Amino acid sequence: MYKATIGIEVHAQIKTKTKMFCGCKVEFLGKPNMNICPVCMGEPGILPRINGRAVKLAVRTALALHAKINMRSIFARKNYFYPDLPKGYQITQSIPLAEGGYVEIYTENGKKKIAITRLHIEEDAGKLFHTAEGHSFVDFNRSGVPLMEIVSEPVIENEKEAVAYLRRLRQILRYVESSDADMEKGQFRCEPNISVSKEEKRGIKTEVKNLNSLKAVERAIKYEISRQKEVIEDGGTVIQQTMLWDEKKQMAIPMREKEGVAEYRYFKEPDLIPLFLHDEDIDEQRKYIPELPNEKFDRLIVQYGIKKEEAEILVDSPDIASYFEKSVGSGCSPKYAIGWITTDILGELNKAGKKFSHIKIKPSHLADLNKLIDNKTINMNIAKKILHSIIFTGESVIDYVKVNNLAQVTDENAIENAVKEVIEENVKEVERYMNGEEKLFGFFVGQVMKKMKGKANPGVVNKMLKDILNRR
Amino acid sequence: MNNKELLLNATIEEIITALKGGEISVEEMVRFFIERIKKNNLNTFVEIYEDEAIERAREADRKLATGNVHGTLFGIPFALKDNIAVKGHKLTCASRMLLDYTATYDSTVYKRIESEGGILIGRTNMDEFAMGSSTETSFYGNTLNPWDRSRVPGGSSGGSAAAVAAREVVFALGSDTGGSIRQPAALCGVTGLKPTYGRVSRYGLVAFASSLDQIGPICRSAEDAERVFTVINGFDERDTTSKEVEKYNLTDNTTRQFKVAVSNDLNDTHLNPDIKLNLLNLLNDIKADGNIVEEIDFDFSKYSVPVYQILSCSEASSNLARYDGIRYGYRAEKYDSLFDMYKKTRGEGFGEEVKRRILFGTYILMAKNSALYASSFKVARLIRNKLKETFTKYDILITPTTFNTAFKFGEKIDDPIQMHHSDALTSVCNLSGNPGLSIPAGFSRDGLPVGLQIITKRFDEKTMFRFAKYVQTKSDWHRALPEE
Amino acid sequence: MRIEKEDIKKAAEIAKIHLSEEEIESYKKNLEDMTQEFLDALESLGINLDENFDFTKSSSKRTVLRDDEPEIFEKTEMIIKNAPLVKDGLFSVPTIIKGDK
Ligand SMILES: [Zn+2]
Repeated sequence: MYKATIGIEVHAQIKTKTKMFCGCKVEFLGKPNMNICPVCMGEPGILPRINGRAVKLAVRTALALHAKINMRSIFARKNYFYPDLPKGYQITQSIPLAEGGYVEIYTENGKKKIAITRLHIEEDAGKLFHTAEGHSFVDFNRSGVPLMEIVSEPVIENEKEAVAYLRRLRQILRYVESSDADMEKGQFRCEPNISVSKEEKRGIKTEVKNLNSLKAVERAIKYEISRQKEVIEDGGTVIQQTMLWDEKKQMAIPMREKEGVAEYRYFKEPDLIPLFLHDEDIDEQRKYIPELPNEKFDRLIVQYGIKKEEAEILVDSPDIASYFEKSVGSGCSPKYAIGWITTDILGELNKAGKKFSHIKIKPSHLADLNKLIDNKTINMNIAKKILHSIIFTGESVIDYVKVNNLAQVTDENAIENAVKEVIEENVKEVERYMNGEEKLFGFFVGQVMKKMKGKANPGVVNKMLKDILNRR
Repeated sequence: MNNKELLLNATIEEIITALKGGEISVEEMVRFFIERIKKNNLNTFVEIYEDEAIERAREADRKLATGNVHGTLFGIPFALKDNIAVKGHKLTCASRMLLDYTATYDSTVYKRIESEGGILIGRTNMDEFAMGSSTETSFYGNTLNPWDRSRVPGGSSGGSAAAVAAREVVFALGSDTGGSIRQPAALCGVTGLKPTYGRVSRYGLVAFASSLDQIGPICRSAEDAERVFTVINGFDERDTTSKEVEKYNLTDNTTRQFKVAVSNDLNDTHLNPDIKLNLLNLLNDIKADGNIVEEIDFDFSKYSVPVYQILSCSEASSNLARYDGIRYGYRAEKYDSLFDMYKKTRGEGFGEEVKRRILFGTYILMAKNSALYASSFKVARLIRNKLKETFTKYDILITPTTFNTAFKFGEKIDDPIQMHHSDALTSVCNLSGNPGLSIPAGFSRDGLPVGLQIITKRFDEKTMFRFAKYVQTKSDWHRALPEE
Repeated sequence: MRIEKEDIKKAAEIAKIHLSEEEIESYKKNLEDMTQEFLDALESLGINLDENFDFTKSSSKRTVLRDDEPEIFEKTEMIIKNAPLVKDGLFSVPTIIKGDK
């Protein structure tokens, strides 16, 4: 049996207004080389100044990851030449801001803790564009943007766990508001390292870059695991290298290295003194830690009896979760609320290409619909129709029912007449039904509903149909 | 004092008084010094900002006319070493690499001097990227020692020291990583201060070795050095390695008794006998005043140079990685690819000594040698502790500033090891972080200046200046002028 | 301390400095001498080589941090003007080609 071992390095952009070591704005709206200054351009004689907000947010993240925070961490230089790296070195940390910690995920075999090795602060590089004519161009707007590097232990066993880990990690960053973690915007970059081995000992690992979505991460890991297995099966050895994921070809292609052998010549950044933290700094950040995704997940299931997949949707979008809880708070049953939200509202939004924040329908509307079903004013189908109609208008449910004359008919005479008419108009079907073709019952219900414009109480229709048919 | 005497010999304080008294105008003074620079032709300056300086001088004169005179350095002409940034002016570090680079921001020290009324005359020559002890590695050619034109002014702040010695400017700033202020000050017979590490902001000083670099003044006298120091010292939020200690204020002139330790370097056989003689005479005078003077074992000058080399070259190799021909500076004309462009640009843009040190530092920082860099700090710690201990018993530690007086051009340039040993007595302070001040202490028999180095506790420049001012009362050496 | 010519070449490669054969030869000698001097100094002082020596112990326990408030650098054109080669506000560099390692 082959066993895959996966560790993941994540670079998350810390949500600050300004860069890590200078006052330039973190913003990518305007022209290239607009948000630059002597510091982030590495001009002669400049010195870095640590962005306190970035430190605070990194501390907060470390707390949310249950990591041990180092009261004294050290900035260091990682030296290498590349056009997007202005100083010829990147400022990173040799003693990280935090070590240890974990992210808890749910696997087919239950809960699993993915251990974190370290979390440290560093600066981003600029952006390099390649052209066909032998020139490249550099834009330094991104140079010096604060990043948190979060490194997992190699304890992930397959692509599903990897995705579950990354999804949960991303949720945590968003919950504590330390990063927007938008993968498409490059705010959450994942670099998994993958090895395959038959033995206990870890095999030779490869690193995969250029993964712009969780889907890509999943496919790339799957691809790389099977590629490595094949190499070993064929009696070969895996080469330690960095691969680039090609989304079009759906394959990982070996990358040419920047330098023959990495010789980064790490040493303490002499332009910065150690980063000292104090208990107050840490306690202050503790206050900003909300209910975390796992806690929320467990609580939603226990408190509302909803399914795991449903809870996962809510955990992924705290605004939807809060909407759900407010609906229930206003008196809607959790079962109705979760169904209406995840199927009807999200379905409609999906169709319209809109965001959850665009809806006008309020949690209390859901409670109103639930009430009308309970007092038999409307049935579920009508309720859904109303729901779909008012998602973007936020009209009052009661008014909508009145104006559109949707109140359910429970008048037994009217229903009885309709039932009789249906039986008379469908003599053949009645005969087949009497001969044992029981599934036709549904057809009769449908016909009656059609005559009643959908407003008949389905319970009454069922009962009356059965009575009359059975009497024959 | 007539005007010429005033401009050649007065202290900053006396000059400002004369300006206020209307004895001379700022413009006259600025023109006087610029004339001297041109006439002396010592190659002290790499660029003179004549029009700008005269413009500023006129502005100062208008203020004088209205009695609106403020600033510790009001109207005082000064120069900056060519590794200190002034926005809109070239900043070349005397290197081909940066010949076309214009600074885009102001250094903190320049801002502070400017706001106290100083008038910038120009940039002074130096060893390329401050790497050298003779100013011979400059792309702009040699600066001549005003005491003997066949000799070096020392380095790397050779232009600054020679300019002050030749009275081409009232004061100049230099930078000191292993002795680059004190050694040329000694060789040119002027006063040079390397402040405590963290006292003066490094923001805008082109980095050589970040852990050791400090900016400091080169002046005619201890009084002037202290005055300039009061302006440039103090915490700067742009340099977070600068210390949040109380800003330095001028000391009173009350002399008191000092407990003086003299390092046994005075008995080193390598020490030029003329230097030894001068210092011994001076020490006798000090003793005669009732001060305690005791010799102590302080061996670190034997070890400081190799340790300094390891540490400074390592950091330099990283600090100078930014010169890659992309954002500013020299770029080779022909290349086949990115990495070829890097290698040619750096191969052609840097001079020999700079390349040597970058290479050395790169080698030291390679993973397999990393113990060397880390261990150099062990020695630094040892020196620091030894000095700390010394200063529990003594107020002052005295050493010669250099083992020798100014040497001839070309004498050491081809022998890097010999050249590096010029820093033996000074680099001790850079490694430990302590302040060091070199003051004139006489002349050799062939008429070359001799320097005395005063070291005190970290952040105790106060005692240092008190002592220096006291020593100055023993002689007129700091007023001696080279022949023109 | 003996240093191989290959080490010098490697260091030059990493430092991205083109060196001639003569330069390599002369630098090798300097480097050996300087390193040896350092090792001798350590020996005389009774200091062991220590890769993990933590030299960052600082007496002050306060790190000065910056507020996250924008400080816009207005004269970006001054920065761009210093560049040897610029096109449409972008810094132009040669592309890495096969010969680069
Ligand atoms: Zn910036």
